[in-house]
Amino acid sequence: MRLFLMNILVFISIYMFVFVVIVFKDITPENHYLRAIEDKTRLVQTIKGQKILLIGDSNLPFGIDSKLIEDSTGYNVVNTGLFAGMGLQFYLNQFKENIKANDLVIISVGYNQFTDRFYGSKKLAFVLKTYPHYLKYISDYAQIKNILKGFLNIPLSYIKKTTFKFEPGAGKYSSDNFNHYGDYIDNLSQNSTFKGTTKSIKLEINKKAIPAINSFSQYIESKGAKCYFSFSPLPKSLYQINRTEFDMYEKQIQAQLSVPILGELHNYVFEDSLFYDSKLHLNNIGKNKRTVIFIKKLKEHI
Amino acid sequence: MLFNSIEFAIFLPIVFFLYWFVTNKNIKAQNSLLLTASYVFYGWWDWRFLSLIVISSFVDYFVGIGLSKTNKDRKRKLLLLTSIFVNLGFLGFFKYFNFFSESFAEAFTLLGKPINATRLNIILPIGISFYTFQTLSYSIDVYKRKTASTKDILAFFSFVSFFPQLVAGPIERAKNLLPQFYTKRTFEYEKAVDGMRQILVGLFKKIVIADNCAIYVNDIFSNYTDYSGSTLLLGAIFFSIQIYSDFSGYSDIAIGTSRLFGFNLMRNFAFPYFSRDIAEFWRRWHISLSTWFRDYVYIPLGGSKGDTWMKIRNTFVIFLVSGFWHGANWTFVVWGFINACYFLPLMLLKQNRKNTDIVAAGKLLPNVKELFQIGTTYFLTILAWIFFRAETINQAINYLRNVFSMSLFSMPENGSIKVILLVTVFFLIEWIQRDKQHILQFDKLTCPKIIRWGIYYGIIFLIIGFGGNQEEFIYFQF
Repeated sequence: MRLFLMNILVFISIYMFVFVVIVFKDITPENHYLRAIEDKTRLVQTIKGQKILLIGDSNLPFGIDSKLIEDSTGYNVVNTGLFAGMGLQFYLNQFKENIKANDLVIISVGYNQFTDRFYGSKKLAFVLKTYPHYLKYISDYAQIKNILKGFLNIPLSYIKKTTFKFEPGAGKYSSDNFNHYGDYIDNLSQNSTFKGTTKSIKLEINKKAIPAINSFSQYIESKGAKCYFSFSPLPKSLYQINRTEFDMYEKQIQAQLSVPILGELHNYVFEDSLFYDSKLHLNNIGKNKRTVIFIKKLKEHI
Repeated sequence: MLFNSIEFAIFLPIVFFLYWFVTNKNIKAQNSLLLTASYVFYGWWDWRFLSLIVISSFVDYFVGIGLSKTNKDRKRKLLLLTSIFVNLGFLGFFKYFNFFSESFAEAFTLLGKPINATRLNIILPIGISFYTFQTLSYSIDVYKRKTASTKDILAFFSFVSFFPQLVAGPIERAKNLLPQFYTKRTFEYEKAVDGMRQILVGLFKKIVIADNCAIYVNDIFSNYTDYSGSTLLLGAIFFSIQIYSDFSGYSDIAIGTSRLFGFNLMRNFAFPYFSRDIAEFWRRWHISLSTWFRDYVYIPLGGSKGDTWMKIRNTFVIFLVSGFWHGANWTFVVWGFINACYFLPLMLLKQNRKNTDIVAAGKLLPNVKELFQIGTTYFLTILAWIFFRAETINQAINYLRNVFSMSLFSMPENGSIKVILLVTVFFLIEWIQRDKQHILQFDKLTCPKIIRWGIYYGIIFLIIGFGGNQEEFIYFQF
């Protein structure tokens, strides 16, 4: 037994040593896309006056023109959306303390935030490795599991040079490309690569996702703020081929979500040609169209 | 709890430590620990279904005691029927109720008298097909006086719920596993090390091979109307590899884990894709289930004795029942039927026990004849797997129709060189190690420690770096 345990111990120690050396070697580029999390957090903490806080995944920076919202509503706007891999649960935890009376909070996430991405992905580990102080926004065991898996993946991602690559952006995103609202302002129209999709998907809603939004809404309403939900944009090809699934998804959200919903899912279905590089990212024309609809629906409520 | 989960990575060392360092002085304490650990392991999914295991264990324990106390045939039969009724009753209700209800309704509709099917919202308890067969085999063996009944309730309950093999086998026989709970287990270094290696093999098969294949299989089978024949064929090949790696991977982890606790489980897979005919394939695939059906269904029906019609009947019965065991869907029955059709000619021509040795034993490569036989057998199994994977028989037929179209001769549109490479290397290693119990069984003298550890690190690296996303094991649904 002693020999067995010794061997196991030595084996694991060698592994851990190499692992720790590799993992904590910081090779994150200065302008890495995820570094924008710090800028966005700062923005939320420092902005004065009544604000509209947009919370969600990358459909927001790649699909909302915050200036247009600000001009139309008179509210200051902060677009906090960054990356689906961090998960809706993380976002809700991250911003709830910064919401003040009379703020409007609009949650807009892609359908996968209600399914397999509610707790984020392995990429959460990359955020925490660079900015350990975000650990305080980890509240669920499923998030911890994703982080552990992510840490295990770090050495390999260095070797594959995919450390901070973003599917499907192939590493070209940069934290330099956010404007002072938090929108992504690269030339999204000229470089469109999205070709549409014909893939069938299954939408099984995580049973904790909707109650999490409801409870978040309850909390911020107790502070005098108001919460809304808006669907993310969807490419027509994906919507049409999965119509039944999306109808069921929308029905479930309408039935269970206790916050007002800004419009219906079909309002946010756009031609494939209006998308940039993925099913959640719009190009500049798409961004504008979506924002106009978004504002119209928001004004019906405020 | 899944073998490939963080929970299990924490659970296993804790149980191992308690087993060898806290409860090691007393066999009852060790069995109590195993029983508790097994219930925690199972209850992690849904503790409510633990009651089924407990009831099943109680019934078979008392049936065993009852059988040992009486020689009266009528009473013995009644006791055996009680065990069969309870175990198959659970299985029938939880797994097959909706299927039978819908099938009856469809049959009446076809006869022109449409009726509505009563559908219950039933959750299928994980592993129910495995542990009910295990407990059932105990009662049947005691009834047939092949095994002595036990009075040790703790040992018996631990035998029924032994966590490494509780939810997906190997389906153990009381004759092999139960006595191991009576005898003191001593820690054996070689056995534990080999167990660890086998766990590593299982994780590799599941996480690297099966889960990566699953990505393409799921996509190709969901969108089969959009793909060319060559892509569909690749999808079917990937599925054959996925189901093998997934299930044999689970068995490897189960066997390896048991060895850490001093137990020996039966072998469940013996490199089945190197079989030269279907009969050999079935001696190498899911051995614990095949032998279960052989011993408890096929032989009692007369086996291969009797006239030709009896042989044909028995062959079809065993394959159809085996197919149905896998799931409440006609696709599984058709899969069983196809395999029966493959097997029957061999049996009628008395060729079914022709290939009982290891293919190309002692040689590096097979000869042309063996290669042809292996290729043909593998191809036949792939065709049958399409029915196993499809959601409906119609889907399987259309899938097959699309495979055998002109587009079969085009380049596949889906698939990954990385996965094909991994699978190829994996099967090459399987080929080299085909005379061993598993692919990491080394001869210490010819393979020094530095190389062995290098291989282990390499495998861990692949598991962490190249693992797919699917987490559940396919056989949990059965």
